[in-house]
Amino acid sequence: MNNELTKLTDERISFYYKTNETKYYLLTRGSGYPLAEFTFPDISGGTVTRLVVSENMPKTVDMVPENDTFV
Amino acid sequence: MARQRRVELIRKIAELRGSAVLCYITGDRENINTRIAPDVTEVFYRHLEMLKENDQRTGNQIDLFLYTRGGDVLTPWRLVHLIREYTTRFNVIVPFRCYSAGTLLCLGADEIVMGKMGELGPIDPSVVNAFNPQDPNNPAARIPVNIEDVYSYLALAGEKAGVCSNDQQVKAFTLLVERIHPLALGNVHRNYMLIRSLAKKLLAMHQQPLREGRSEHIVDNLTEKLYAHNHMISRREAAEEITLNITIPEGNLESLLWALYQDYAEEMALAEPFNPAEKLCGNKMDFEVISGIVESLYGLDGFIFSGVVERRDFPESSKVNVNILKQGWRIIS
Repeated sequence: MNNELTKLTDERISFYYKTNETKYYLLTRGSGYPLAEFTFPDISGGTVTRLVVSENMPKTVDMVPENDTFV
Repeated sequence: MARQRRVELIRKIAELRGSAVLCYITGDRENINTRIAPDVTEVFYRHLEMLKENDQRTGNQIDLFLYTRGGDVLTPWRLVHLIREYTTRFNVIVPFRCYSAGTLLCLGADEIVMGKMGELGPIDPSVVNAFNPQDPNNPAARIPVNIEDVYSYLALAGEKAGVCSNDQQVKAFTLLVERIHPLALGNVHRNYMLIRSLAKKLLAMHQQPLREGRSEHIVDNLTEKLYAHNHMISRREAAEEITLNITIPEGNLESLLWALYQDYAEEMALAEPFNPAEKLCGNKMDFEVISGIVESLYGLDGFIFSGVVERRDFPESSKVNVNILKQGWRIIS
């Protein structure tokens, strides 16, 4: 088993596990798209604003409406 | 390990299709998603080189088995070019979700193999940059702007609200600019042009050129004529209405494709939200979790989030702090 890392970033991201709330995801420079808090004290040595976007994934229960259409 | 079972499935699919098969899964597990992004290009390169060395079918036909909810709009263009460096015929296999940037990637394929559960989606991106509107509930966050929403507003003003004269058009546009920063709108327009240009250029890469007008028909449908970003396009709609080159797999192949998807879904726990609190023993625990896969017969790469989960003195006893310390693609085998 080869554990070589091909790409690794040190973007430190914090979040609290949340349910039934709007979730904010961090737009990273790569494939990672994790849930994140709004400020990132571990990045650039201070509190900075990053591009964080809210998102919902529709499912049958616990749905957070973003743009529902009712008929 | 599930890898051994998947290798058998991939081998059988490759035999039935007469192709070299590459699998790419971007995880949509709640809280730790991955998306199509430029950092996967090197990972693809590794696998394509291995396929070229080991699989004689590579030069004739490569099938990309793809599950994704989307991602970066430019990466499909790069990936299609890279794959076509190795083969004369490129196809995409869609076992289930293949939205947005995934659908864009399909446009560069000669053939799109869709199972009964296969779904494509519109290519109407939302854009976000530092000038996007602030989220009223969270000033540090930006609200994405859907490109087609902006153009739909202008169409609404013109077609339904009777905005005809230059003065009225200026007023409608001014209203928009008062709410959305001009540079965010500039970004919207640039991406409006970009997505159409990319889609047409990808369609032009097919082995068999499309007849006149078909490319425009496909692009118009996927960008603005479906009217909802979360519209799920079935294989029938994709073939009959959008006129994409859809292939329906025969029964045995369909079963193999679904089994392979299910194996990935199980390994990545796609159906379960990532909740490290459930596995926390004591007050602190390291974790590693896989949330993206690129795999072929000759190797496996995973996108790994690693970090620490801690229980602190939160008023709510179930609340934990999750710190992701590293993330990236890793060669697993």
